[in-house]
Amino acid sequence: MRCGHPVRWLEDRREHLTASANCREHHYRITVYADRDGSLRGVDCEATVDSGAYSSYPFSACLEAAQVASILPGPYDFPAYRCRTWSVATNKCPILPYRGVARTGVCYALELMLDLVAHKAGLEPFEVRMKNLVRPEQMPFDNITNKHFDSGDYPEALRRALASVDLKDVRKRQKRGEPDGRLVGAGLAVYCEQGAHGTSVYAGWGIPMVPGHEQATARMTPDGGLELRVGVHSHGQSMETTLAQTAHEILGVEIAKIKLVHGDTEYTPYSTGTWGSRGAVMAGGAVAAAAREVARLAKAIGAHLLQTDIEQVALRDGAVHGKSGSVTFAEIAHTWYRRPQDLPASVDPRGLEATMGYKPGRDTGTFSYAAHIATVAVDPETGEIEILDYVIVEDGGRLINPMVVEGQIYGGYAQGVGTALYEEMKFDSSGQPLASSLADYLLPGPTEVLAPRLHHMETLSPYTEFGVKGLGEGGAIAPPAAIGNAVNDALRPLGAELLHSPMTPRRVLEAIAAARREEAPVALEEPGK
Amino acid sequence: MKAVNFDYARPRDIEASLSLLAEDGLSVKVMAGSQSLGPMLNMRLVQPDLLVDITGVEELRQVKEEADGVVIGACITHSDIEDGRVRDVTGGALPSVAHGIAYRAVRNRGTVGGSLTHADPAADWISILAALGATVTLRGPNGARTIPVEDYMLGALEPDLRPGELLVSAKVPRLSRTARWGYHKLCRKTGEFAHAIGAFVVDPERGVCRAVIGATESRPIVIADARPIVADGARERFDGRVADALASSAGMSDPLDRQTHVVALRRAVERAAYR
Repeated sequence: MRCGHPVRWLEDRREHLTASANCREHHYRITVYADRDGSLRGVDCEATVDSGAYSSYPFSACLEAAQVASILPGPYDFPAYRCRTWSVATNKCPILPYRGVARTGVCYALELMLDLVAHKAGLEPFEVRMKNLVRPEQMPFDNITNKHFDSGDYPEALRRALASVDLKDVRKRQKRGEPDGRLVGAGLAVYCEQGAHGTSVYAGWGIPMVPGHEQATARMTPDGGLELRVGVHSHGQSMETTLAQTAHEILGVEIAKIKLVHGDTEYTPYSTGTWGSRGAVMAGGAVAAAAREVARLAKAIGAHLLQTDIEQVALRDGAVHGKSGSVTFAEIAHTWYRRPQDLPASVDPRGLEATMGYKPGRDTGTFSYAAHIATVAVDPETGEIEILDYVIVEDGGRLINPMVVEGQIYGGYAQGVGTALYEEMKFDSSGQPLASSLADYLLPGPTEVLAPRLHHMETLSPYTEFGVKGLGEGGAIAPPAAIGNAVNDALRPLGAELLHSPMTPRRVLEAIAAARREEAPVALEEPGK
Repeated sequence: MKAVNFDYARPRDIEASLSLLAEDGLSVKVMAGSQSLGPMLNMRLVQPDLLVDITGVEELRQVKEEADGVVIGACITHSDIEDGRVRDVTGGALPSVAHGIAYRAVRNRGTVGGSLTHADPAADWISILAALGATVTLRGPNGARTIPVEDYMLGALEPDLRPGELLVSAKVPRLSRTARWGYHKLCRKTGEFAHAIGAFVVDPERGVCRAVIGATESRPIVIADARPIVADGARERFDGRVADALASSAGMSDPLDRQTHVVALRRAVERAAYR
């Protein structure tokens, strides 16, 4: 929209819920072929994505449908694959990129199928995964849709997740039965997530907005502190900390003296922004490059002040050290800004400021991954589901700040619980939206989001600065699949199966009722009698 | 969207409130804790000319203990009851139910009278007070009348409120020492309105055995004599078929909906049995 003047946009909750995005609505018809030992032979899929009425800039209408076909194979290696996808226009709100774009639906579809394979083959679900996960010795691995998995040990993530869950105890409890009549079940899901993919990937899609080099400016301030300017924006994921740490790693400037300027196109280098799990990889790489350049500039001035050559000095603890002594960044900055008469004629006129661009050595993306295991209790009388335990083992390459990473995963997990159990944009048969307040559009609250138990792995990416991988979206990808498999594991004694999220009490009861009807097609037993 | 413009009055006594309610040709809404009315105003589901805020009326914030029960003023909040500022005559039933209403922030402001008058079938007071056999007193231009609480709710969001009338209090009967109660509601998340409620009170000394199936599409199903459902005896035995038939004849046609409501009632009865 172009209106030639600034616009102030005020939107209340009701308007937001009725007129904003409509995401995550996928429908799958999927057939998985496998040997009796659980080895996958092929996957055949038809997927339909509800794209709503319009396409949002630059390409939302086909964003998810196009990706479904390329990412459905997940972290698995199998020889035959066909997937046709349709992006269907409806009179609902447009689809928009939402954390874990296309991946959440894909993970749910494939992981539920793999549990069915396990069930048919008489195997434990983890055995089917172990049989088919890409192995570490295959890395880097080009999968069946030519996704280039950069690094990782997928089976190890699953092994570690399994080691922290007492699956045998769950099986024992299932045999014994719970004293309160509920049914317990365990379910798992494994995924890998392409993130921070760059120019070659997006140019291949033919979209009008292709990201190139990410840029950052680093500037030593007159007091010897550091100012970083980046075009990506932190909307709560602590980039201020992560990027400051990245610069600190190279320059040794105290974290407290590093300031991040972001969120204002007037002051920062151009960027396509924060999306696609690219912040740490792309902006982190750019900050590292700019910090290295500033290091070089500071060393040159420092060497001059120490009356030696740049080759004879080293950077350490916020100072330039030579054989004869050291000068602090504060002294170097003071010289550049306030006492230029002390500088040689040959000084680099850029001073202590550098803007540098960054692209990974290979821009096909990093692949972070995780194994999730959910244990749930399902009340077969009311359909209520309680998460009893949730374990996540994730690998995001080099973790710049584990606490920040954990925050990302907790938040993503909470959204995943919402997708699994609560969130649904319902309409009646005449198209009237039925969820126009947060009383109708249910979000999980603190009492519904059991804190997951989280374990990290660090398999470095061979292509990025420090081996960092993008992982901002991952937490939201697997919970519907893991919880869905756990619910179906719990319902299995009743012959019931639920293949639809959110898994509401109503849908659980309908699944149980459908299983009863199948069992006794003549004498229709009404629940409650 | 925000509320339409309206006039606001905060009378100090019931008489002044009633005379404001009697204003001719004006659309008048009574406001107490504003926990339901507030959002409805902002969504413009209600567009009054005048809001009468009755929280300044001292008499409506009174609690009076009597030999056979306690009279609770309309503006007593859920947290007043939760925190024990209202004398409990129900063996813990009222504080326990109050504690489970929505969130603390809502309980701090939401009132008993407001909840009953808003007449949301999924709210808690209408179900538990009906099970306890409570009454409400209304005052209007033609004097006062007292009716059973379940009769005050005609249907969803529809109280039996005649022109110019104001709910002033609810009277909760005192349970005997041997009385037992149970309450169970099904919510998908903490603080959400219930999808099914079961409430049960048995007080043999007073000859009371009442059950309520609440959070229905309309007014709760009140079973004034619940003995056929729980079978007389020292330990209640629950007959789901009778409860299911009652729910069915009350118009609850969906079998799964009936199932969850019957389960809620059974769990309420079980809680009473073990209390």
